[in-house]
Amino acid sequence: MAQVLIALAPALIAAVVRGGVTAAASLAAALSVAWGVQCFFLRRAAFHESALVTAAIFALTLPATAPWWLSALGAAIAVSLGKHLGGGAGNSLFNSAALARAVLMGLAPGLLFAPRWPAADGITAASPLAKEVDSVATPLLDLLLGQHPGSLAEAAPLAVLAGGLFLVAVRAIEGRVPLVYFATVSLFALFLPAGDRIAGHAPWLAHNALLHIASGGVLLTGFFMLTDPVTAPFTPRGRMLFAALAGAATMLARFYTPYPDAAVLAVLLANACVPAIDARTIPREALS
Amino acid sequence: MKPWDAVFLAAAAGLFLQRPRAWWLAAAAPLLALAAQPLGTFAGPAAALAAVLVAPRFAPAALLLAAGHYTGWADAARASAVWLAVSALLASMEERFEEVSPRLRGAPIRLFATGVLYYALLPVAYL
Repeated sequence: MAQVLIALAPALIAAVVRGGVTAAASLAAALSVAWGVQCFFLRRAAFHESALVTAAIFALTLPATAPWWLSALGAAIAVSLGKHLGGGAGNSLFNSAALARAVLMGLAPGLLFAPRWPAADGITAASPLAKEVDSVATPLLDLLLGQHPGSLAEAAPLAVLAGGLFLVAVRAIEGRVPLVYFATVSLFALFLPAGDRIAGHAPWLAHNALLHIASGGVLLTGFFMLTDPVTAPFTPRGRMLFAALAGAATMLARFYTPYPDAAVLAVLLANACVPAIDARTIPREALS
Repeated sequence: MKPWDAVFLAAAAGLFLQRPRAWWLAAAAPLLALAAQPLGTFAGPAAALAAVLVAPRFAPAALLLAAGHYTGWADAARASAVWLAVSALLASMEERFEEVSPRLRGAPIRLFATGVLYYALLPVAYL
């Protein structure tokens, strides 16, 4: 878990540099509330790495100008509902950060799920993944440098990538999981026929694999959410299927629904499929 | 009732019923409800009766499915397909439901999982 915190550090620093005081307050609120809620549930004050990792990942899914209380509320939901009430420690059915994000999407869709997110400089503009009438293409270099409106994780995709590669290098995560996820996203991006919204309003989203990997929550999802060992299948083959399923769901939502990005929802759907995947991939002799 | 709400209420109800062998027949309820719409004021009772007759031992789930307001055959077919998929997913999670902390076993964890799937699958409603 300490390695995951180290891996998240570049993305967190980049988020603060880009988002300034608002982003710093949002991250601080998420981390402190997650720690407090974890202490409450475990009835002891200690350094709870897993709660901090969950809070940091959740906070990175928020828009750059999200108010601190929204971040605090989400962190409380992630640790209480995701980690403790959603199955108990080590038995969570769903990824806690993705769950908190989904709950807030239901409670405050206007704040979390607007196709027009405010950028860090306060100017409201369409997300690169929006399929609106006045959408404009974002150059790939701008995407990689975080020069567009989006979530805190999108402030520095290269920092998220560096953190993810660090985790793969130190073998803290299985590299094949993000690889299969990114490969599925790329294949779908290249070969899926464009839906009406894309063809009409944002044709640059079709057949553009790099854009789909660099934007939205794909990098964060691939490296930090799908690799959560508690909510992933047991077998390597199962985890490949799990990652492919999440990639397919992410891209089907991007191509054929009004959702700009549904990566976290794809994670939850893949989590729900884990028992079914396990039932088909765990050898029978291992079960008996 | 919105079709999406009807589908997930039916899926939640199905979790508390003993599943007959032909539970999946309840998936016909949205199509029957749509077929009954030309009957005007009799549409509701007729759809309810048809839904119960199709899946008598899964009647609460079928009735909830029939209560949705479907705007066309595609809408009704999508509701049937989503309900089948969600019900099958929730059934596959039964073993995991038993592994959670004892305080959460039973209704709380089942309803929680249904609620999460409600949002996780929401993009399907816009396909």
